[in-house]
This record gives sequence, structure tokens and C-alpha cells, in this order.
Amino acid sequence: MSLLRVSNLSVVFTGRGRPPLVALDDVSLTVAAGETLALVGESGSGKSTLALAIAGLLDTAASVRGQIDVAGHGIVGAAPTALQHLRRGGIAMVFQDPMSALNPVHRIGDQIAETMPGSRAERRAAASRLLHVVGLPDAERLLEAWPHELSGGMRQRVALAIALGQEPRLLIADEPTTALDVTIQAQILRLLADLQRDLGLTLLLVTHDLGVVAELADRVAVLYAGRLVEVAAVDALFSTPQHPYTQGLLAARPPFGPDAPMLPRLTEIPGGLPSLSPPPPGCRFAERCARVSQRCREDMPELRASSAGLVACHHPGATP
Amino acid sequence: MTPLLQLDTVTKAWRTPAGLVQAVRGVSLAVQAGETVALVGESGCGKSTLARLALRLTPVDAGRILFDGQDITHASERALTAIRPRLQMVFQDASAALNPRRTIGQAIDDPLRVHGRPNRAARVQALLGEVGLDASLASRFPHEVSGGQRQRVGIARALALDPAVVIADEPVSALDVSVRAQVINLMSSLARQRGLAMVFIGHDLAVVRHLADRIAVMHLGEIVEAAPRQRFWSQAAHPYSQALIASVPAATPAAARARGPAPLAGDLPSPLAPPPGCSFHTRCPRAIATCQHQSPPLIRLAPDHTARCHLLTHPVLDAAASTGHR
Ligand SMILES: Nc1ncnc2c1ncn2[C@@H]1O[C@H](COP(=O)(O)OP(=O)(O)O)[C@@H](O)[C@H]1O
Ligand SMILES: Nc1ncnc2c1ncn2[C@@H]1O[C@H](COP(=O)(O)OP(=O)(O)O)[C@@H](O)[C@H]1O
Ligand SMILES: [Mg+2]
Ligand SMILES: [Mg+2]
Repeated sequence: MSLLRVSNLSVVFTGRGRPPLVALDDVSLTVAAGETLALVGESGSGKSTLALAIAGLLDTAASVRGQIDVAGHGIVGAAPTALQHLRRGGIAMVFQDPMSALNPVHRIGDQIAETMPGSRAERRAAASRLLHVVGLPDAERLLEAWPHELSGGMRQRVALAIALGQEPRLLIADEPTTALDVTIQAQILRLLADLQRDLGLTLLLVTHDLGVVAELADRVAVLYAGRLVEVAAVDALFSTPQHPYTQGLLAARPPFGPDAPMLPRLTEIPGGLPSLSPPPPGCRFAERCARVSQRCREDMPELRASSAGLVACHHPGATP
Repeated sequence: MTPLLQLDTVTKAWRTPAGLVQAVRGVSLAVQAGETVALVGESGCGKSTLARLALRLTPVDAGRILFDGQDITHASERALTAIRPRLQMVFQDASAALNPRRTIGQAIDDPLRVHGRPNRAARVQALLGEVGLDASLASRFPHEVSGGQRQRVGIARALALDPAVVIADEPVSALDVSVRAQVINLMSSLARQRGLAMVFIGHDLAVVRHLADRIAVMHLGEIVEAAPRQRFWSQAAHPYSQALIASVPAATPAAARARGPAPLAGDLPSPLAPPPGCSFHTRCPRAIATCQHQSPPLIRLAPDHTARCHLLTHPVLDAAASTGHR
């Protein structure tokens, strides 16, 4: 059973004196209970917009069409009080900058306990347990600490503790390790994997980093310029990507590992993201695509079943 | 051969309200003509400070800086005017490095004008072409072009005066994967075609592996290991280098499933109070008692491969310490 179902979601930002910007266009996806779905794409592709829309946190300046259902509750158009109700046992979110989840003038313990039910003593005990769960064993000292006294890695763990305190059915993590150093990123990635396994969390992982995807994802949805271009199980996506953009992203990474070749040049994807105000007609990747045909420029490809999952391309398949 | 750029036991502490930050502690590094040396390490380990010292943008507390054999540690601003064109920098954030009110053409022309170079208009055109920018972009402002294009402008500016050495401080870290490959290819082909020496500061080891002839690993203000590419990627000897290599996210889901626990527990120590002994001992999975109170000696593992680690002085541990790449 899918826990999250996004159907035909479109989000347009309309600002004063600016042309409307189509951040998401007709996006549909599902996340099953207990799975980790990675949402990948380069910056500006609409990942955060989708994450915020699902969490019901989108800017009021955004006009939203389509449906989002979390465990049978509709999000689009729901009243703010209904959303608050949904948040406990519903959706929690962690961000790239953990400080955005922390109040600088409140002690860590109070911030974790704040969102939990029970007496003061019960909440404190629960906060202490949560700190252990996120790999911060020195809980007694940390409960009294201020956010600024913690390192970036510890703050992200505390932000996770606060999120887990809400016992969410869905955890959305938007670039949770992007601001961290590599050795700390390795710790947080393993923590997320452990939490996912031990607590049966359902995780929507937003990232631009295919290495992070390889580490954590069960399935992957690739977003390009506001449209989903490919959805597949993680192994299939890495071994037999069907969309030229997915293939380009995978090929653009410098190889790494004991037997990785030393390449004279990296494979480039020429050009850059198209404008979203308004987006080009047809396939949004057309201008950068080696397989482009006239049809691609005129006729927008829809997501269709492929050998490996779903792909939105008029010329899908293995790299020629 | 005389190195083009040489740092000799360079030291720098920043005075801050919280106390003295020991950003660079006795670093020695030599860069030969035409080679790309990567400086890697986690944030706050002193990479950018070292770049600023090498470029004489900030004075050293101790140590020497030599450019083409000439000691420039205390060179006057006038003397530096002759050297600066030969020693240039590319920054991570091109939009911060560019004046928002000057067009791209003007930005590339500025160094030529300041240094009174001839044929400026033609030079600007040639530079635009060299970094893969269309000539029509010359009249645009930095905010009107993409992040990748701005970084190309930053590179064109750095190349304008035909430098011998370019120090690039995280030049691709802010770029998206698809654009990053374009800029990496540009930098490596420019380095090759112009015979540039490059110091490439980065934290993405996959990018570093692709670009660098030699790798120097910094930890808390010190270079703890330096080796040429083949040796580094197959036989990195310092436990910190090994941990950095093992921390790189897996290339494939299969590789991710095969891996063990995180290589390092805990956090980076503060440069306000570097741990005594080996600065890495608080996080080192193989630290021995000596590491807590005695600074490790510089061990020469090969003519061009050095590391600072007590374990490498113990022959028994030596084999275990050089298992290298995961
Ligand atoms: N609040 C907003 N108002 C106007 N435009 C926005 C807003 N938030 C995002 N955008 C635009 O929507 C597009 C998608 O942005 P975002 O969802 O943040 O992408 P990503 O997270 O993939 O980098 C971008 O072009 C961005 O500039
Ligand atoms: N201008 C400055 N004033 C005070 N402290 C600084 C300054 N520049 C850097 N630092 C401090 O010096 C240390 C090394 O910083 P930096 O050289 O920027 O490291 P890196 O580039 O490796 O991240 C850090 O603790 C940083 O906060
Ligand atoms: Mg985002
Ligand atoms: Mg820096």
C-alpha cells in the first residue's frame, strides 16, 4: 500500500512583476510504507518545491493543482489546523541547514521535548532516549546544551531527533548531508539507513548527489526542470538507466573506487537548465539531448512503462 | 628543478573573539611547473587560509613563501605587482568575486587594463573563446548568466595575465553535476594546453582523483600526507587519508550494500585548541598511547611520498597501515 500518493501535481510561483514560474508540472509518484524514495535532480529542478508541497509547507504565493494524499489524508487545500493534526504521526521534515529546525535561544532538551506528549519528566526521558537513537549518547549533557554549542553533524542529529519525536509516518529529508563534511556525511548516511531499517521509516530523500542515492535509496525518481523524467528501482536506475538525462548524470561523475579507470575527459551534458517562465514546449531536456528529434521539441513525452520502470522520453533505452 | 611555488613551514593563526585559531601550522608544499596539486581536507582545516598566504593576500606569522625561487614572504606591494599576474586565483563563489555592475567583458578586461596590456579587446575575445563562452555574452552582467558560465568568467579573468600558477579554491563545489563536468574538463584542458601549475582545493575526492597529479591531505592546519596520484589512491598510508577515501559515497548501490560502518566516529576537533600530540588522535581508529602526547614525525615512505603518523614508524603496523584504498 502506498503511504504517499502524489497525483498530477503542478506548482506555479507567481511573484509581483515577474512572469509565472512553473516549478512542477504534472508530477505523479507514490511512496510505499517502509521504503526510501530518492528524489534527484540538479538545483532548480523542483525537488524542494515538491518536498514542501508534500509537507504542506509551501509558500502561499504558490498556486498548486493536483492531489497529495498521505495515509489517506489530502494535503492540497487542507486547512492549516488539519495539517497540524496530520503532522503528529504524519510528516516530519529535516533540511540541509539543521539550524532552520532549531531555535537558537532554547536548550536542545526543551526543543525535543516540546513536540512530545506527556508530563515534563516523561518528555525529558523521551528526549534523552531520542538522542541515543540518533547516535548522541551523552544525552544528559546535550539536553542542557544550546544549538550554537554543537557541530554541524550534531545539529543534524538533533534535528532528526526532533523529527522522530513526532513519530512521523513519512520523513522527508531535503539534502540532509549536503552541508556536512565527508566523514560526517558518512556517519549521517549510515544513521539514516539504520533508522530506516530499525524503525521501519518511510523516507523521501531529496538530493542532487547520486552517491547519496546509491547509499540509501530503494527507488529513485529523477526530476528535470519540474517534470519527472524517470522512476526506477535503484539497481535498475544505476545499471540500465533509460532516460538520456539520467544516463548523462551517471556518466558525468568522475569514476571513483579501487578499480575505477582514469579518464582523459569526463562526459559532459552540454548547456544548462531551460527557463521555467515559461518552460519550453516539448521535452524540457531536448536542447541538451544527443538523441533529440523534431518530435521531442513539439510533443511533451509522458511517463510510460519502460523495461526498468517509468521513463518520459520519445527515444528511451540504452546509451547508443 | 626549482619549484614554481614553494611554501616552507608556513604558519598562520587568526585572532578571533573566541581566541587564536591555528589555521595553518608549519605547512611545507612545493608545486612544480605544469603539475596539478590537490589540497584536500574537511572544512576549517586551513585550505583557504593556505591559499591566501601563498598569494600573499594575508601575511604569514612564520615561514617562507618562494615564487620561482624568489623569496616573496615579505615582498613589498610594489614588488608584488610584478609577481601577481603570474600567480592567480579562482574562487568557489564566482558571483561574489565578480562586480555585479560590470559586464562580463569588462570583468575580463579589468586585469588587462590595470596592468596596461596591449590589444585588450582582442585579448578579451580570445579569452572568452578559450573558456568556451560565446562572444555575445561579453555585454551581459554576471547575474544574467548561469552559475557555470560565471565560473568560466572567473577562470577567464584568472587567465587574462597569462599566469604560471593558478590556485583554484573549490572552483566546482557550487556547481551542479552536469555543469561540474564541463568546468572540470575546461580546467584540465587549460592546465594542459597552457602548461599551468595548479593548486586545486577541493573536498570531493572523486573530482580530485580525476584532476590531480599529486595529493596533499590537510588536517587541522597540517599536511598529514602527500603523494603522487598512483601511490595515493593505491597506498594512502595515513589513517586520516584512508578514512577520507572510505567516506566517499558509493558509486553504485551494490558497492553501498557491501560497505561497513562509517570510517570515523565523532567530530573534527576545534582549531582553537588542536589536540596535543597527533591532531588526529581523538578520531583515529588506530591511535596508540604515543599519539596522545607526541607529535608524529614526517615519515618518507618513498622519494615523493610523505606522511606524519607514529604508526608508520612501527614496522609491524606499517603493513596494516598501508592497505590503502577500500
Ligand atoms: N518561493 C518561491 N518563489 C518563487 N520561485 C521559487 C520559489 N521557490 C522555488 N522557486 C523556483 O522554483 C524552481 C524550483 O526550485 P526548487 O524547488 O528550490 O528546486 P531544487 O530544490 O531542485 O533546487 C526554481 O526555479 C526556483 O527558483
Ligand atoms: N579571516 C579570518 N578571520 C578569522 N578566522 C578565520 C579567517 N579565515 C579563516 N578563519 C578560520 O581559520 C580556520 C581555517 O579556515 P579556512 O582556511 O577557511 O579552512 P578551509 O578552507 O579548509 O575550510 C577556520 O577555523 C576558520 O574559521
Ligand atoms: Mg532544494
Ligand atoms: Mg575554504
